[in-house]
Amino acid sequence: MAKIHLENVCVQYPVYAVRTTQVRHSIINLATGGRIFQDAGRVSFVRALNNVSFTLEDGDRLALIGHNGAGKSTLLKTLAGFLPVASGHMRVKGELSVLFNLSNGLDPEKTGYDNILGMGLILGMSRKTIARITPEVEEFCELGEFLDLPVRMYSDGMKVRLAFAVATSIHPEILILDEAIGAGDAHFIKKATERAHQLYDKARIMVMASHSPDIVRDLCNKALLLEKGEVQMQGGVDEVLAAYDKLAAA
Amino acid sequence: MAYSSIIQDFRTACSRHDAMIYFGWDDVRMQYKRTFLGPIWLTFSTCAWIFAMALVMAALFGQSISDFLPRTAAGMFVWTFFALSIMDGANVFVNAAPLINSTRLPLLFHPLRALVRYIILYGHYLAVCLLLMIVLGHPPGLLALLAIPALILHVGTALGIVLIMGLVNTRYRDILPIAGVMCQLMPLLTPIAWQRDMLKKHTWIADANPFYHLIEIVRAPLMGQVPATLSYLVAGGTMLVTLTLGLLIYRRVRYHVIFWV
Repeated sequence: MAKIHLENVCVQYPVYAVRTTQVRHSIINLATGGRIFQDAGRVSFVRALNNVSFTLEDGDRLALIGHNGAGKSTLLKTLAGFLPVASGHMRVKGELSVLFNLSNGLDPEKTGYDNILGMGLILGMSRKTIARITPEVEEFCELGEFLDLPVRMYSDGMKVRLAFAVATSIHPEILILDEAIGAGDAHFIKKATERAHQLYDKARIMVMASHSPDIVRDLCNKALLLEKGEVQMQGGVDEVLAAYDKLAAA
Repeated sequence: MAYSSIIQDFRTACSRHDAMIYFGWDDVRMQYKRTFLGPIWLTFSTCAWIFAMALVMAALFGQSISDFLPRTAAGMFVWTFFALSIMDGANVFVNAAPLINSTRLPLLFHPLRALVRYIILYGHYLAVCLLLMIVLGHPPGLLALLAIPALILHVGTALGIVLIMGLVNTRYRDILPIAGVMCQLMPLLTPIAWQRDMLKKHTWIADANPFYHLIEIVRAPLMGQVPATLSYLVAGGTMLVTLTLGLLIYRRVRYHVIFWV
């Protein structure tokens, strides 16, 4: 069973003035007893998440909704374990994967096959797993003999297909996404949507940030509205979307 | 952060050894992609330096070049390994910023991947060095086996250096130019193209330099000599100090790195 539990979680970003990132000022600080450059040693913070609490269990598909800068990405990065929790408690139980950038590890100098290996390793697959998913990726991306050529020969659409096929080969218990993943040309998009849905369906818990009400209604069964790093509302998709519309109109 | 979780972090990072070794090799391969001479270019500039210095120094001090060349080569190659871990190591986290921000790769993955690359390059250097010695008629003897434990000491020291340089440079970017100056002076200050005894009354210049001892514990066995006990002590001490310092800094700033890259 997978579970995510957050209790009064706060996350803050330190803000470094440009000049404080230089050794010179630290040295001057010591020499002058920290008076003249007093502000050089002081770090201010931006509180990106404030007292966020929620619990997710098997079957939950949570959409994070809110304006730019509301804290959606920060919350995703916190769940993924990238950002430290400043105060409060966070417990994540279950094997977790993130898909923030589909083309992580895509190297234009290497062949398609080498890229399947490289990207798979970055996603945390073993060589054995990669060997197992390779036929499936071959079949899905329809790149045929192009897979033996360096990726720099590919069109942008072909690159997206390859990256998409590899990234969607993972099947974690908890899946964290920044926007729903979509890919490629019109012919491809139906196939891609099907494959993405398989990925979503296999995950026990999914958390995604999205700006699109249609995608949220389609994929999620819960929603959480963030505003200035605080939870404004959480609950069913429709009621939260309605509240978001009201907030946007105000 | 507790000490036990540092060990846990190393375990997590090492569980990704597949990726670490693959990308370590990959980084090396990228350096010789689309060249004819491939691996030869990796050692080319260092070899040029070695030949030039050995030529001038052997003439200056009236020694035979076939004697001087392998000594200079062994010394310079060891130094190059450390220069790499200082200069390239400073950017391990900065260069990995996209991966740090969007993948679940453990933070220690990035310095360890770099270390894999340095070790592979070190292998190239040692191969050239051994080749030189054989061609010049000074093949290494059985005593050369003494160099093997010393190489382990080198890897440990390099790990410490990469952690220190990588973490400090992520926060204070002007550490790199400072290190650059140091790395330029070091090959001249260290007995690489010259010998400690040539300092006569001033041997402290060599003895006070940890890199001299780090070089000596590999070079002396290759030349058929047993390294001085002092060299082992200083080299071991250097490894302990750099590793401890590196881990202490890591323990302190581990969760800040993502804000700095």
